[in-house]
Order: sequence, then structure tokens, then C-alpha cells
Amino acid sequence: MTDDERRSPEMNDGQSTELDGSEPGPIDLGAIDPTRDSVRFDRAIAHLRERARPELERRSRAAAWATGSTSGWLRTLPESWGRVAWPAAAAIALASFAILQTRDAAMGATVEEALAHAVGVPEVLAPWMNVQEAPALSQILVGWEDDE
Amino acid sequence: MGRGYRGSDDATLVHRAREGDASAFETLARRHYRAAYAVARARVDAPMDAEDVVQEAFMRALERLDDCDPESFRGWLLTIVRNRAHNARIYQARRRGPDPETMGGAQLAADDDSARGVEVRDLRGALERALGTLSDIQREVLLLHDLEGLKHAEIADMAGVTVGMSRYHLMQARRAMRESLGPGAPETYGHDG
Repeated sequence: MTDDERRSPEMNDGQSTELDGSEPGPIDLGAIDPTRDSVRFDRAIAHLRERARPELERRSRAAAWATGSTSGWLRTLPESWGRVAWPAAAAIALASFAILQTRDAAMGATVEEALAHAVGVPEVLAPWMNVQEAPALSQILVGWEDDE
Repeated sequence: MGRGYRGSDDATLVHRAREGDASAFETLARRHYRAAYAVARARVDAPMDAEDVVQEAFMRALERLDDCDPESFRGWLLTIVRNRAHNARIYQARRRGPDPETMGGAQLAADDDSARGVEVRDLRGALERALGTLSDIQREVLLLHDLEGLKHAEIADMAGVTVGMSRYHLMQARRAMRESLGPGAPETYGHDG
């Protein structure tokens, strides 16, 4: 807290100090404005620009590298690999799809068989477990004979 | 250089300067130079030292631009200026250089010797002497308000005081300045350039 603040604790936000007509008006400080003399100001800015150049160049290089390396990689990919890459990707996708389909089918059979074994039911009767429907006695006997 | 971005907002300029765009950085410097000078001049005795502080602060700001919130660049920059000015004053106190008025005069001596140049030099010298009678906070509020043209809410935010205190400091500063400058000051200074 400054001396002035200590002397005037009653001053709060929004309270105007323009209490009477004696409020002093603005003071023209143009004579000490550092931007007033355009030649001198331009010289100061030029000096700053010169000092800032190495850092700006470093930033520029870093930005160019970041964008250039990514876009360069993306740009060269279709040019050199395009003819091979896209058909290869399509073939891999088709192969993956086919394998997955086969595996799903295989998995279905394997599960039924594994479950039938686990509960001691002949494999031929396993489909009835899936539909939760009791088979006829004759079907059980036929299944048992086939299993043996 | 820097003219092409004149209408751009600070945030855009900060983003571009981060990528090394010299024009964007120059536009930021031109736009905020006077405010930075006001804050620096409030804390250091000599105008030349204030300009040095401003230059150093802009360099520091550029180096640390990635730490800045682009939406509030000015406040961030002025904090850097304030810190640099504080350090400069400590250095000045150790160095105990020439009298501030002499320093101001040394800078002014570089100006032209035409009648107009002499008049401006005299005005500047008188203003510098009058500013020397103010406290730091009075000088900062006065310079930011009457030189840079900021509103009390903006000054209060930057200087860390209430709006009411900003008004109070401005009133006190103007009164002190008028006392130093004499009764003819408002007319003389009010019509200068």
C-alpha cells in the first residue's frame, strides 16, 4: 500500500474523485511521448527489430520444421507409395475381414463343443442347449449312440 | 514492416510472432511501446533509461512469448516492464549516476536547435522535472491515463489498485504537476503539437 492509499482509506471502486469544479484537467504530455518524434520512434523500433531478429529467425525455423516435416511426409507418401500402398491396404482389409468371419464361425463351433464337454453332454446334443429346448428321448438315445 | 497487421488484434499477432513473424512482433511493439514507456518511466529517473527498459522488456517478452496468454498480452507485457524497471532502478541506485534532470537534458541535447526544437526541449525538460516530484504510482497512473489514454479500469487492473485509487492518484498527480509547471502550464502544454 502506498502512502496515498494509507492517507485515503475511504476511497473505493467507482467513487469519483471529481468532487468539485477544481478537479484538474488532463495534462498534455505530448512533449515526452516517445512515439511523437516519428524518426526517433522508427529508429527505436528498428533497433528492437534488429535485436529481435535472431530469436524471430529461430522461431521461424522451428515453425517451418514442425509444419514442413509433417506436410512433407504426407506429400511424399502418395507420390512414391501411392500405387502400391492403396491396393495393399485394400487387400489387407479384405483379408482381415475374411479371417475375422472365419474365426467367428470357428469360435461358435468351438464354444458349443467346449460347453457340451464341460457338462458331459454328447456334442450332437449341443445345439439343443443353445435353444434351451428339451430333446425327445429318442433323439437323446440316437445322439448317444452316434457319440460313442 | 509491421504495417500490414495494423488492424489485427493482439492475440493474432502473438500467435504469428510465436512462429517468428517479424511484422507481427513489430506491430505489437509499435502498438504497446508508449504504454510500456509510461510504466518504465514511472520507475526509472531518466527517459533514456526508460527506453532501455522498454527495449529489454520487449526482448524478454519475445523470448517468453509461449508463456503469454495471447488474449491479455498488454497486461503481461507491462508486468515484464515493471519488473525490468524495478531491476533497473536497483542498478541505478548502486551506480548513482548523474542527476535525472541532467540525464533528461543529455537526451534533449540530441534534438535539433531550431526554435521549435528548443521549445519542445524546454517543455520536455519542465515536464520531466514535474514528473520527478510525483510518487511512482502517481506517475504511472498519470502517464497511462494522460499519455497512453487508458481508462481507470484498465489502469487499476494493471497497476494493482482499485478504480477509486486510480482516480485519486490521477487527481493528486495532476495537481502536483500543475504546481510544478506553474499557472500558465495548461494553456502552454495544452496547445503543444
